[in-house]
Amino acid sequence: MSKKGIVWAIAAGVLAALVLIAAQLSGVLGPRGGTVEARYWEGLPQAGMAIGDPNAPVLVEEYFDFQCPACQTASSQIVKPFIEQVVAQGKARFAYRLFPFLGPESVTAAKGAYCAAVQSKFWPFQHALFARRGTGNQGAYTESRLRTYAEEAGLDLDRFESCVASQEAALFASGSYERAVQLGIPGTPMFFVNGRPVQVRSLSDLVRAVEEASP
Amino acid sequence: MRYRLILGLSLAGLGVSAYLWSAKAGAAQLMCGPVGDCATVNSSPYSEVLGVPVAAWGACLYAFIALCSGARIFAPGWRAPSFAGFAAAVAGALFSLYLTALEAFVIHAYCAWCIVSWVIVTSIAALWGTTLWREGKRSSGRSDHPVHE
Repeated sequence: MSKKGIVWAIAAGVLAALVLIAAQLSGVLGPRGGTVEARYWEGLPQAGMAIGDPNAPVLVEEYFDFQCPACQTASSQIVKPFIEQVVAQGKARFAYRLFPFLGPESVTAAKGAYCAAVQSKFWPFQHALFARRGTGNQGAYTESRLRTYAEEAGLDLDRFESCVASQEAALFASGSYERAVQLGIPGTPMFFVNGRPVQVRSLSDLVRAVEEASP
Repeated sequence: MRYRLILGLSLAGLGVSAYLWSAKAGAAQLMCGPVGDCATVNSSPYSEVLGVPVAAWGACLYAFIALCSGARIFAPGWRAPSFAGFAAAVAGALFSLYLTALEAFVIHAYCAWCIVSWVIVTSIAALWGTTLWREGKRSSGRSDHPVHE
């Protein structure tokens, strides 16, 4: 190969690397260069892990585990657009139901979610947790990491830490697990529309189920 | 000999990337050892490009480099794989350098496996570049002295 060929190969490699870096930064940074703030929950009525008009004709519930990869994908590809397009219009209310079955970090994340809900900050907190895409009890959802996410979500850290260590949080996590087991939830994510289990693989599946359940 | 070494390095890199990819997908336990904090790096927002894990991109890159080096071993007269493989190695080395800088200055955590991958891909790029340079010098030397062909 000639020297010219080597120079072209280096130029192509540099260009490919720059394209990759730009593609990655466009996913991490917003259009103005700041971190993307997908605050889709703002302006909507929130109560604990539920969001939307309490008088909405349809209630959608999702049983999930923070460490479940399919739940992480569903949070961005199904739940977020569903809240933006359906819940925001008052057609349905959405509620997360925890099923912490994938190990100790799932339990810790569930306790953290409870303590964030106590401070009315569940929605920014769940967003911070899902963004980490932690799986397999590998350290993404340890208590020290949760403190960082709690700080990101704007929680009172002293209250959060004492809450995570409390008996109430432990009872919430174990109670959530037992309730899901009693309901016979086979895996996560598992959606219910007005109490009826629904197979949801995409946003359109969920929207269709809500339309069918609407009076 | 050099292309065989590149092939071996690319297969080692493929193994590292595949392991990180499976850990990211939750299919394998991430063993980080005493150095660094792999979990933080592998769960950071920078661990994906266009929604695809960086480790998956890495696995594809190493597989491509392995194919190109294999093509050079089994078809020495075919020059196109050298160009493509070297370009891919340069891209991988630069992107890995950028990721290592992110670990140091943005994420504030190191992933030992990622650094191993950076060393592998940078070695491949350097090895491939010097090999091409030598091949270029040898072929230009031959054309300067056609009598000795």
